[in-house]
Amino acid sequence: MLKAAIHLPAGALGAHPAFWGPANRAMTKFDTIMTAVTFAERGEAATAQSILSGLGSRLTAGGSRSWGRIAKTAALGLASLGLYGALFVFERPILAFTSEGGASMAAVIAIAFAFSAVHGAFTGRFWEILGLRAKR
Amino acid sequence: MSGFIVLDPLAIAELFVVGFIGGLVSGFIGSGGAFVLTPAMMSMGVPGIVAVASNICHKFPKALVGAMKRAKFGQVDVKLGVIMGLSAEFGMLLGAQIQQEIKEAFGDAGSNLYVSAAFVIVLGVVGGFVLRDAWRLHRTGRTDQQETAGRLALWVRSIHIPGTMVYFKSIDAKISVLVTIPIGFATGLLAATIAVGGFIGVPAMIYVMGISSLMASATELVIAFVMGLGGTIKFAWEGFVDVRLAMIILAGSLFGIQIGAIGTTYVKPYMVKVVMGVIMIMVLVSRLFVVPVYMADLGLIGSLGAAAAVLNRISYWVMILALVVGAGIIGKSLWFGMREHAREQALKQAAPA
Repeated sequence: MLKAAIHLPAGALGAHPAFWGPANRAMTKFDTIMTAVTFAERGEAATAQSILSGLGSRLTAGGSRSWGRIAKTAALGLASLGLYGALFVFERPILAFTSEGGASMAAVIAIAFAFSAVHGAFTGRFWEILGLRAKR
Repeated sequence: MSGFIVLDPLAIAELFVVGFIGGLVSGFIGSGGAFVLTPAMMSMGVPGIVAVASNICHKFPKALVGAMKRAKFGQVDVKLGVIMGLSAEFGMLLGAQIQQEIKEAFGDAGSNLYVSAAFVIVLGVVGGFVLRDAWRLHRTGRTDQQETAGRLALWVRSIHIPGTMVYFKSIDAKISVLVTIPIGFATGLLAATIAVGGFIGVPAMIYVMGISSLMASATELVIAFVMGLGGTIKFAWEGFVDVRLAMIILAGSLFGIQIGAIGTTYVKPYMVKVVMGVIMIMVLVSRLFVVPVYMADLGLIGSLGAAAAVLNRISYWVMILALVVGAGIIGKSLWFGMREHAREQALKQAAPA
């Protein structure tokens, strides 16, 4: 983004992709904003806007790994672990009740729905945190 | 609590892993895993009916999560799924009745031979057709093109029977429910016979109704949910569900189904046909290995002796391999799809405004 906005000559050091990979990673939010301000002061509003929009998209991309999301995912993971823990701690009474048949069928359905809701929400967020998201 | 086994960590790990791979395939092609899970549970000492019941019990919540995920991507035709799911329930009832009568008349060996013969015929015909179509698309290089309805689908859509026509958003056209009901019924019948109704449901939606591969595989998850819920109620009412087994498989499959569903947004639609065709043919090969065993049990051929156990093990591992190969193709397609997408995004960003 930045490289395209500045339009460096082909032979310049900065024209090489290897230069811009680490440079972009090292560039902090503050550096990026200041660079945009510099361009804006020189009257190159479009370039400044382009740099800031790049910052915006980077922030959005990082948003899925924000602490809030990680905490929610961890909470869902713990809840899921709790459900599985309870299932195995109370294994005998649960099996005895659900194998009675008849109305205890409702307990089987309720357990399946509860586990799928909690564990399903956890697994969805889990892969998102790891960067596996659907193509938009 | 007779019939419910003691679970050791190894058995839990095995069920979790098979559940994960089954979920991955299921999220992608709409069905899968069930054909391995039932034999896997039975090999651990779980009685057949408990294995089938627990398998079905894990199926409906898994299908629900997968359907919701794929509905977010706009790939699900809920109306079609519910109509076909309800008709599939009736197919399941008939399929279960046929199974019961065969078992009473010919015993376990007769029942096993019937299931294997159904596997071989259905997978041979449908799987061969699906794989041939995928190969043809690959060879002609039309894999990027939008899927279009074939001649059969166009003819089906042209049939107008007053009072039976229903609009389906997946094809933006009306189709008579007299077409969808038999397809749903056959899906249920197959599900009660070989545990994987999607091997009929998905190809039928693609070739008979002209629905795209992605929408057909996503809508199949709605059918699986409706069928699985009905099946669970029936088996749980009789007390056959081992809820521990069902929830362990569910734990693995919910991890897998998310990846499978995400995978559909990155790959070319014809990949659904490739994965489905490959798995169907490999499962067919697996069943071919055990046909002589059941024939020997019925006295149709001479005794196989120790070879019977060897053939059973080969059959089981070919089924596992079918799932692993399917998951491998999905994983590879997803990996390359994501890389391609990242490259496109980078190029788009780098392009001067």
